[in-house]
Amino acid sequence: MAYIVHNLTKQTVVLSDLRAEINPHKMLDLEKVAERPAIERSHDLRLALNTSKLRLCSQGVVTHSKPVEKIIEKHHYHNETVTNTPVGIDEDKLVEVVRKVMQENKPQSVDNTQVLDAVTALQKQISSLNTGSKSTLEETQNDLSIDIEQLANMQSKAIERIGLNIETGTKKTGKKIILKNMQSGNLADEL
Amino acid sequence: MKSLDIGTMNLCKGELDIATEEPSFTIERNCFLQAAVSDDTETTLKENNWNYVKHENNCYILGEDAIKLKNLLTVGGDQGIVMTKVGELRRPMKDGVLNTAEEKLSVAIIQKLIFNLIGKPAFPNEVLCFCVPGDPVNKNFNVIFHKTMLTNFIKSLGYTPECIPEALAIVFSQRPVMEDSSELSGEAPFSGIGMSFGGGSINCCFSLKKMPLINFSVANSGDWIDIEASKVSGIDVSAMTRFKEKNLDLNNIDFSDIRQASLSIFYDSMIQNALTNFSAKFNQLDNHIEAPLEIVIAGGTALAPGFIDRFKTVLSTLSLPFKVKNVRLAENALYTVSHGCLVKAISVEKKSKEKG
Repeated sequence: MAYIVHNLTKQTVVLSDLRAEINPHKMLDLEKVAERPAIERSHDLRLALNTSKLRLCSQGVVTHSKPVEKIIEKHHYHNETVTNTPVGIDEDKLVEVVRKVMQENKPQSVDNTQVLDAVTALQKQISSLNTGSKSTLEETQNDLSIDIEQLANMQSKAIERIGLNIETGTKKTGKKIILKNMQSGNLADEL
Repeated sequence: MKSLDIGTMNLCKGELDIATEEPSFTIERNCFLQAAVSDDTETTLKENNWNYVKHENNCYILGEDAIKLKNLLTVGGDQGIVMTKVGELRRPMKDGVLNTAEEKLSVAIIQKLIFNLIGKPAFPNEVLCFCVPGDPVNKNFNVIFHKTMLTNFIKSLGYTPECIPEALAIVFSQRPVMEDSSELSGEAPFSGIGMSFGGGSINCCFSLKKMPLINFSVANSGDWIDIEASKVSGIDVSAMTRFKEKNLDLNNIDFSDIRQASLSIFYDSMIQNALTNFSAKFNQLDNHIEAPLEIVIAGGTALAPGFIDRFKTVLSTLSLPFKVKNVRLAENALYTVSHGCLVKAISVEKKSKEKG
């Protein structure tokens, strides 16, 4: 089962407690990076969803505001097809409008077959738009791998900033124990 | 040069005493406790000389003092500090790595605790060697994240960080040997099996002439024993931990006592699980190892009386893909990993000086 989120912002959204980074306008299946209980506990995720930085696409189904009713019908990692309609384009309506316009402006010399051919050609073009957007999504899916090291570096910086605001009160450490005959120097020479 | 063993339960710093050239070690508990906010909290903390840090208006009691205070509160004392709303002991590490489910502040507080322990470098770019767990076989987390976070932090203090696998540090400290006719001495040093039984995880390494051929970790260790045994016995986990640390003797188990019986069973299960996983990894090796191997064991969980005998008993019931020369508990098992890291740090420092 997938737990897909969509970054709606122009900036990278980092879910530090899940070690996840979602690029601008990209989608990520959080179950590829963390277990479901951790996802459900995630403070950063809750915050990002509440502030509408991320949109939750529950179990692979994305709900979008109108006019697009359904963007993703099926979401599977890697090999499986993602069906997608470009945002803001209603294919059926568009075809209808084009048909209407062509009917209205039809020159007398042009017969119905030509009109139908033109519409078919237009439909093909619209379909090719869909194909283009499919590959974009596929790229997104393939781009799911996260650079853990980069994420850790970002996390380090965030923690360093917090650390600057921590004041040391009383400072003490445990008792020092000296161990004899451990041959540390000799062992080091052998390494 | 210094070393740091960052365990789930303890932090252990090692350093070489310049005058005596003997290693010294300092241990700090890897945890903290948030004190409830009141007007006089900080004053009381200062007066009682508790180890603490402050962030915004909150005070956090660190390390051993956090455990002492928690125990005091458990038995009713409060040392004059208003602690009625104090939380649970916070341990920002889990299964041997930084627990990123914890908020960033927790990690920042533990970094302060580490800084209090290791301090600034004695000279610019002093080498500090720390250890990281092997990749886990039964958990889905990445050690790279933990390693990168610590490397960045140690570097930010001005040290030159060096990192080795935790169980390899046991091999560096204890120098197990293996028969090898190709060597003049007839034996290959730093060749054998190191096993570290910590609080959060077990780390296993098979080293052949300093090279780690097998290196992995298993998450079911000391904490897991406490949790599982407490479930069976129906008592609190921290009570089970205290009972284990004070009363358990694996050579003398009273099976009519549910606490002892359950602890005994889970110790067996833990050892068996570690050896079974090790065997599976060993079977995947390309090299065919005929010579009997020495197993050196370290870590806090291995300090229970009778642990080595129990380990040998479990070992004898298993069919292993290698021969065992002997099993021994490392000298000063609580400091072995830190000592191994220190040996590595000294070696790196020496080689660096030789290069000029």
